[in-house]
Amino acid sequence: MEEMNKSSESPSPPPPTSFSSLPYDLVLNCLARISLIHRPTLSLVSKSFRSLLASGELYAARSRIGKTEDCLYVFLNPNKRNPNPRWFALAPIPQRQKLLPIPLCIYQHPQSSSTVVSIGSKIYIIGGFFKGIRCTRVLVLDCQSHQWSRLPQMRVRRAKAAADVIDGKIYVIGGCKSNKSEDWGEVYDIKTQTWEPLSPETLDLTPQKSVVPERLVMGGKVYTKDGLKLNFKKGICLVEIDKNVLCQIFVTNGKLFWRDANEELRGWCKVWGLEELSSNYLVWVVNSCGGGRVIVWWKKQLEIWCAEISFERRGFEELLGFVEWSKNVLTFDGCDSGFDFFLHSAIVTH
Amino acid sequence: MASSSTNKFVLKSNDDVSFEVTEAVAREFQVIAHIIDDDCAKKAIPLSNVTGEILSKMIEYGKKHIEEAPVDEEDEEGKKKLQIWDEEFMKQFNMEIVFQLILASNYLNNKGLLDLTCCTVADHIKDMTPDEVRTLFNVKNDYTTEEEEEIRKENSWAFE
Repeated sequence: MEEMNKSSESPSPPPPTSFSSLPYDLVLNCLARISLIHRPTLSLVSKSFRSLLASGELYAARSRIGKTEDCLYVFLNPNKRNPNPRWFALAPIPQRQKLLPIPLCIYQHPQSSSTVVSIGSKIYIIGGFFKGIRCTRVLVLDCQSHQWSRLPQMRVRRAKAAADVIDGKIYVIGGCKSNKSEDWGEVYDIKTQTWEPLSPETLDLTPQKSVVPERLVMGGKVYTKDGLKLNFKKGICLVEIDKNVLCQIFVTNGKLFWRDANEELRGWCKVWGLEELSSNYLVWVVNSCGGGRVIVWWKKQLEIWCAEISFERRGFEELLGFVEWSKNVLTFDGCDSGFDFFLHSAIVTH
Repeated sequence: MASSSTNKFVLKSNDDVSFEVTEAVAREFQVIAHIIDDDCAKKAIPLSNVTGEILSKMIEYGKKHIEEAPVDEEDEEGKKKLQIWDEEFMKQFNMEIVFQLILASNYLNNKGLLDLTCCTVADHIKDMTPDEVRTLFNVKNDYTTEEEEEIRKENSWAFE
């Protein structure tokens, strides 16, 4: 580069450029790149700064530049005698994992058998039993603002339905009492905010059927199909161990088991290498935000514990687990949760 | 028409500093590429929002990214090399210059440099104390002691 000429008289120096002199969209562009783990400190700067960090605009900026981060949300029931389940976010700071309570739902939350899917920063809680009856209700938790809202009601009452997000639309099938094929499924279009009926003929489930032979995989969950009826295989977690190597992970009798996604006929095998967890009675397993890992859950008296497990496949026969971290993430306040405290989980983006 | 490696253009800053650059380097800045495409680039191209000091740095960046552009998407080594150069390049600037580079790369529409400069600011802010951020942003702490305590309590897991 040649500097050809420089004028001798320079204009008066402009005022110094500071961060506050940047236009709003450029401020967002900078802040969008800061990881979630720095939010607690930055929230202390000022009220407006705190609301900026939790704003939809910042989330939109993070989405635009591909800097969103995944975060695990779980729905737990802390008290088996007086059920009052609650959503928690697993705080993402390494060494400081903890369950942070989310404000309670302003609407009545179905107690059981809902189906949970997520799109971006939103969790959708679909159907379920409400006072013992299947419901048409769909609740939405915006994990950015922690505000609750409702979708228009489904056309058909459903519980334990299968649901998945395909091309940005929510597909819900099964889980209803009716055997009519027009009641089999429905699809929600976020743009038009309407539910449309879905018949077995109109929805091509080939991709959902190809993940695990003889099974239907919707929203990462495994179902068996009996004609038009679907049965949820509770608690099976699909994990991509290596590229294109998919395993089913499952907790039973307090231990972690696995089998290859393609070998439905082979029995479940124990995951090796988890001696450090052997004194704990594991109750649940969910996918972790880091691909190829799971988080296992158990309780010790009033404490909820979890551990993140990574895997290594040894030949065809063995799967080795490694405990990345394990921690007490929540202590219940004087009530016993029972062993079935874990109800739902969802991975959302922030 | 001359090829873009021999075709030259003159970019002129708002404090009257002129730089002669090849067409390829000029096209690194989308706004200038449009001016060239619209055939409005017969003479020097005046850039009213950029000083000579900033423009010279932007041209240095643009030139490097033309000369050392990775061969293709798979050229991990090439990408890594350029990334290391980017990091070294940013180290020479204080925050005021970084802010000016953000404004100028936004104005001239160079996405790579805008990303790089915004990342530099984010890296600078992330480990700051709330007080340091307040100074940088020129904002006042409008929390009452009780409110601040409440937020610290809410986030106590992060401060343990």
